[in-house]
Amino acid sequence: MNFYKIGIQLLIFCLLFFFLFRFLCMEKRKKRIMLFTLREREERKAPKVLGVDFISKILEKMVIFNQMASYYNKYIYEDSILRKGMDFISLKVIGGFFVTLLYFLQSLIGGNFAFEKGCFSFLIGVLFTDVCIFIYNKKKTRIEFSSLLNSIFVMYNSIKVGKSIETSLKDSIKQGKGNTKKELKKVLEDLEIGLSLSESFYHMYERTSILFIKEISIILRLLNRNDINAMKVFDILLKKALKEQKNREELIKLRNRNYISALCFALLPVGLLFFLMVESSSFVILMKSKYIHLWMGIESLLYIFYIVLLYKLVRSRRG
Amino acid sequence: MKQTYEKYNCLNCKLDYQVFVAMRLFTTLCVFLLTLLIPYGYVIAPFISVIYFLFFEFLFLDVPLLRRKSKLESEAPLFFTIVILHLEENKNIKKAIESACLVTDSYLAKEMQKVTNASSIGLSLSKTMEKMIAKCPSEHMQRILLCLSEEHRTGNDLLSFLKKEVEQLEDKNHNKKVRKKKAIFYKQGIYTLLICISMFFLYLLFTLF
Repeated sequence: MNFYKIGIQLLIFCLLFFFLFRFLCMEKRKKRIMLFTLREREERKAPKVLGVDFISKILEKMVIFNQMASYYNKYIYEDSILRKGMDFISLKVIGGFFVTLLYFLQSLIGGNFAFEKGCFSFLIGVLFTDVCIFIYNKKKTRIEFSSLLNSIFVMYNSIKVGKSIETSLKDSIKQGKGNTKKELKKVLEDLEIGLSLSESFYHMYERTSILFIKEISIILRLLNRNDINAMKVFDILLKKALKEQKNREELIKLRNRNYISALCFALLPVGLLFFLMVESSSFVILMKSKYIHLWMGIESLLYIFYIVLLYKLVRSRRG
Repeated sequence: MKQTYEKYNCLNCKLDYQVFVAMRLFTTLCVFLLTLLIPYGYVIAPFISVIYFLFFEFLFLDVPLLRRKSKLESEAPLFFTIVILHLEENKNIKKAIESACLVTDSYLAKEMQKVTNASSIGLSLSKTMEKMIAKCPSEHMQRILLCLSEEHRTGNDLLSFLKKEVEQLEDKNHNKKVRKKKAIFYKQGIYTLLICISMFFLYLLFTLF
């Protein structure tokens, strides 16, 4: 057991050493190449409150973290505090250190510090921050279908009058609300860069993962072809959106019913255990036995698995 | 056998049908011989081999066929909407299908691409369409394709019929979603029952110790 512990500690130290070595090498190489390059572009900086900016500067020098940071670029918003993908990585690191610090303080009181547990708590902190970022992103990208429908209607109307696609999009942004407005602004930004409307809507689909937006992007590909009238394309879009709205309302009702039933079903196993505790006399024997912790562990694992299963069943893809 | 052949034809598989049948027979024979080795094998072997023979068809024909059908039906409304749009703009059917294939870039588009490719080689569009109908597992899709081929053959305007069929297909897809959502309630009940039983048995097991 002791040998196993030493092995893990050695492995972690080796990894840390490897990262430090790579970091120093990169720093040296950067200094050498910097002489022959243009000056770095100044970017909007993250707040210095949590030290996000400082950690980001350090992590930016490592290739692995740069690759990881590119994944978080889609979480950057106009009004958000974090400005780069790397800031999210640093926030995760800070989250990890925070949980490790909590563990350290607890172990100081108890007097039983273990290195593996410290690493484990760091990982928990990182994962917890990741989950928080994911939930935050979901909140930010939640689009109400009715507002999207309104925007499509405004675009259709503007095109019918004879305005260009870009102007009609601007009109729909003016009329839009909440997250739809923000997303449409991003679409307009993509258009201004030079992307086509269908491509920019496809990017919107990637951000929001609403299947109907993917359908919109496919239909809008027709605009790239000169032989199809833009009015007719938007006419089809509007018809499709109206039908989707009608179907969606029905599906949402069913989904809400399923959520309520899932909540009721989730309470049933707890009720069963409570009933066994109160009614069964053998529960006292179980409480005194040495296997009580094992039983509780297995039961709680089973229950967590059950809750995840229920959640997966009820949760549907944003269609 | 004819039904199996039709199913196999719908699957659009690269393997020859005779090879598939031979494989089915050979593996059934293997199962028969293997089950003979177990105790009372001479009684069980015929039953197990018959079950295996039927299960083979279900696993390798029915399940992929259902998957293909649902995939085609889910992609069909969008694809044929674009085809209809082109037809309304007075384009011919071949061009409309080609354009829809380019725009949608889906599984159905790849299938329909074969039709246009075959017609560009020299075959007539209605003939290639007939072949596609034979390969199509969905009745709605078959009707839509038949409508397109008839329109190509006779030159009549069948757009209103096409639109109705596409609408029906959309409704069918929506109904499928609704049915799935409704079935979730029963699934939840079954899972809860299973979890409650397993929790109770665990409790009994630990109290016995």
